[in-house]
Amino acid sequence: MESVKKTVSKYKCNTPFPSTRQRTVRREQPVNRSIRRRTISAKDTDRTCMDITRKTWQIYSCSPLYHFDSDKSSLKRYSRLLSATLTAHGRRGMGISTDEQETGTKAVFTVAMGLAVLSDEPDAIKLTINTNEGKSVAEFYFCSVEAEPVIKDMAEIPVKRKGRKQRLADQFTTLPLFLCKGNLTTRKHVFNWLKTEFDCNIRKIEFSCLSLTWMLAMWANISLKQKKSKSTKISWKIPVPDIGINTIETSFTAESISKLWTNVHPSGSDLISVEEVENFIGGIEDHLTQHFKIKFQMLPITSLNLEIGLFHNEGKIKVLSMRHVHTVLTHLSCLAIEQLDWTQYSTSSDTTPTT
Amino acid sequence: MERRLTRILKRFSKIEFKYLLSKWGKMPVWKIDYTRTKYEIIQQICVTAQECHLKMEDVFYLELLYVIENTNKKNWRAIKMNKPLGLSLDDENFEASAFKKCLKQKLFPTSCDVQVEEQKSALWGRISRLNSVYGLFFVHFPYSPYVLVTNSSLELTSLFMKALCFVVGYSDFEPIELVSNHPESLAQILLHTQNPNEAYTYDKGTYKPLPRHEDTALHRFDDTRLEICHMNRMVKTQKIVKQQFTEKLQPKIPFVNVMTTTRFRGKRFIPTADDFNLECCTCLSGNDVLEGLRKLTLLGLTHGPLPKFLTSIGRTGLQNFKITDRRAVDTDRSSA
Repeated sequence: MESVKKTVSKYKCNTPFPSTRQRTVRREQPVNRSIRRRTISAKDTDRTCMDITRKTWQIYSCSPLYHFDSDKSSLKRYSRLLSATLTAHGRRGMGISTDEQETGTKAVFTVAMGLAVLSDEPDAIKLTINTNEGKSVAEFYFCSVEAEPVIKDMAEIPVKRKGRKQRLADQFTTLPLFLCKGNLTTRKHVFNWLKTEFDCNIRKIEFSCLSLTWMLAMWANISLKQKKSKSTKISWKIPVPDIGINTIETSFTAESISKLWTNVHPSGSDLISVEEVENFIGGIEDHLTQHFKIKFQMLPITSLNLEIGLFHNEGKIKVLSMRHVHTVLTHLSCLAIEQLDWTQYSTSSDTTPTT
Repeated sequence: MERRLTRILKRFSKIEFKYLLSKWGKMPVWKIDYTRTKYEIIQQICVTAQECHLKMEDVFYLELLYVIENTNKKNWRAIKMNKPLGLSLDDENFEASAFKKCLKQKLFPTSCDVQVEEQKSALWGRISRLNSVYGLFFVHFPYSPYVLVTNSSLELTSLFMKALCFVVGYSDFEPIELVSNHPESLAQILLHTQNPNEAYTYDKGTYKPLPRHEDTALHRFDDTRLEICHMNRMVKTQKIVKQQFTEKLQPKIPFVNVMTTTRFRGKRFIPTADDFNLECCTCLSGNDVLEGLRKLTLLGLTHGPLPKFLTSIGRTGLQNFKITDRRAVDTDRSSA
């Protein structure tokens, strides 16, 4: 009991985003050097990364899935069950099956090779929803990319079930990051099915200004080494609606932003602190304030357009570089875990997870 | 003809049908049942148009009327004609039918369709090649060297401008960096506020800046109790705003682009930053940027008075700026 309370209090310190003091930047695709890393086939990785790049994804966080298995027979069973659910939803209402074409009826769960990096990480899962004619209606990726700390600590929490102690890791699969694309109605049906089937909680991730400034600091200096470097764009929104001016967008040349970041973070290491992030964005906003006399510090950042991808505060991302898919997904997995609510495992005497 | 007519009619809202068709005057308006759905009204109009043997020219004229009523659906660019030839023109030359005839004569070798209508103290027109359905719309202000055009192919724009220069007596033209989807705002800048000493009287004050009504209470997104504590500052801010933006309504500009290549000015946060030039391009956008800047100042989201290049856009008519650091001028020349 005491050990549970101590572990839970440690989780509370890790959430939410503002409490994070430093982060590590993952540069490119992971190299198979560490003992805990999987042997990843380059062909599989490229195929999966190509599927993810150049598409706009909405991201969600998901609590651990209860009794979710990624073996072939289980995925087949899930595909059958979800297809039946979607077909039933599509046929609701006066016997006219017009919704089937919009929401889709055929669900296919497959393992997405090349995303999971650590050996003790669950396989990433891809779910596609198609219509009967084979037209794609929605796509989902459920993954966990180098989400180390939580999985490791979760395994140690003992859970009383039927009078015996079991390891949580055996009962739950942690795939905290969901990437979703496609029809909203389909998404809603899929999420409801997952919640019912695997007793999980799915929440939309929205990037706060602080999250976006972290991304800017971590990735603005990453160059794709192309002939013409893309500029870094930051968009600020005017917090008061309908006054005539909606957004202010600034684009910096790659050289300028690189010089600025080198001054903030001279060591060049992959570990970045929150002070460096605050100084970086503070310097940019102060520079613009001096020119325009507009208080940029009071304007919320709404989107970033970097060389490796686009990031919007509504939780939408678009990765533009195949080599940096793991870079982005590692950070997003970390954010997804930070957003998960661990208080259900807190001070109650009965430590059985609530259903 | 029917396809083109259908495409144009689809842009209309249901309320606009009766008014625009009456103005068009090419078909009996009483034949159309306006209580039906929009699709059915369009079908009826197409059938009636065939019965009345309407041509493509009539359809283009209808399109021009639609654009005149919905000017903000197009992006208008300003062009200035230079080197006047000293032609003596009078009001007869600027009558719609006479102007159309002259323009068509000058465009003759290339066979273009021309439609002209006089509205709101200006000449509104549509030019397109005979076999093309895509046209260029223009607004010319009589007795002024200015014309506003919509986006079109360079070839057609150049062809039209040469013909227009011949008609109104100029030998050259150049585009001005002024773009807006409100042609009245561009007219306000070009005809009145840019050169206030050169009075333009043909429009009889149509495009003159209107006085601003009293500001309704702007919603403060922070604690309203602060208004009492900062009353003096608010009064001071209102004085500055009145001085910078005057008591007339500002012209509606959709964007302002500012390119800055200056020394880094954020040393308060990054004191170790070397003296390097930070290159960036900032775009302020919205449906009425100048009014937005004025309200930003009133809301307390600015530090003191805004820079002159932003507040004088309404007078100068400039939308794109480049700012660099001023070079030090060494006036003390010692002997070599």
